[in-house]
Amino acid sequence: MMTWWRKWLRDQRGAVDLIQFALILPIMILIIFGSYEIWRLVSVKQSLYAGTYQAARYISLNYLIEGPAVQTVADAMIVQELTNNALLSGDTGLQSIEYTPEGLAGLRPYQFFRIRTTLRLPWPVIIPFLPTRPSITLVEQQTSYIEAGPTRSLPTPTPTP
Amino acid sequence: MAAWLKDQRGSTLIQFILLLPVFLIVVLGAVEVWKVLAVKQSLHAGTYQATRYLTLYNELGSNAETDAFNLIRTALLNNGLVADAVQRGEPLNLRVVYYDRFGRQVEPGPTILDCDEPFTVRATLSMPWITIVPWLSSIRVTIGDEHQGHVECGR
Repeated sequence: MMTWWRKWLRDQRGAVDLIQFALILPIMILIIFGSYEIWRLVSVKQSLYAGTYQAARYISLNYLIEGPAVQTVADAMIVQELTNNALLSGDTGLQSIEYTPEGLAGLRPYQFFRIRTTLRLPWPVIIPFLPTRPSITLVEQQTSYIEAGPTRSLPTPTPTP
Repeated sequence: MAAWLKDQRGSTLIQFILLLPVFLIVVLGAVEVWKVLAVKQSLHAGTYQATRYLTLYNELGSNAETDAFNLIRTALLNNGLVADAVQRGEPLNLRVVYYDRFGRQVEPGPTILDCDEPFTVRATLSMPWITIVPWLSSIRVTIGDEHQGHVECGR
């Protein structure tokens, strides 16, 4: 007389499938968690891009009014855009915001400037079979120019006699 | 020998070995595609900026063309992938042409483009690296981006 569970343990139906599943499981978990890691990375890169773009646009339009003080607002815009990303709400990992020319000094209409933002991911990235946990640094660089509206005026109408 | 050939144990291992190159090609291929898309994105950003620049800055005797070209060039060089390749000594083959609304090639500037006149900026970039395609000879991918604008004169 065998109890039901002894019967179940001796039952070999589906054994190959089960073992195969057990072998594939770690690979599946790696792929799923790996894609999550990549998604997080892309999401942060996207926020960094959006923030830098907003800042560049702000400088483009407001530099002639506010002068180099636009930097303060531009910095705040980048930080805000990063904080808006739930993944970065605690520590944004923002390393530096560099402006070229230095301090955005003396820019004339339609002159180019550059913003370079550097962000170090605030979490360690775990790569399987790699003993070290590398910290990934993302860099975003954008070049823009001081916008001053259309520079060409309409041709003056020639008076008709 | 005959016994070894008939032995079917370890067939999963053979299957794995046969699939490994396919798997590697898929993964490395995805990286190559991603690299091209990243550069395409930068080219688009640059072409957009150049078009906007020409829309607003179209002064007589200006070097608007050089500026527009440089906007596209810097947008590409702001991409780490392109910057690295150029640093390695690869050429950056960027070609920018401008068309009027009839599709004729023009030089930007008010001598040809009047107020409100639509124009098109077309940038073509030959990748600064060679893409290896399995079973094909290696190719140099060329990408292009086109953007339309019109000369704004403000009124």
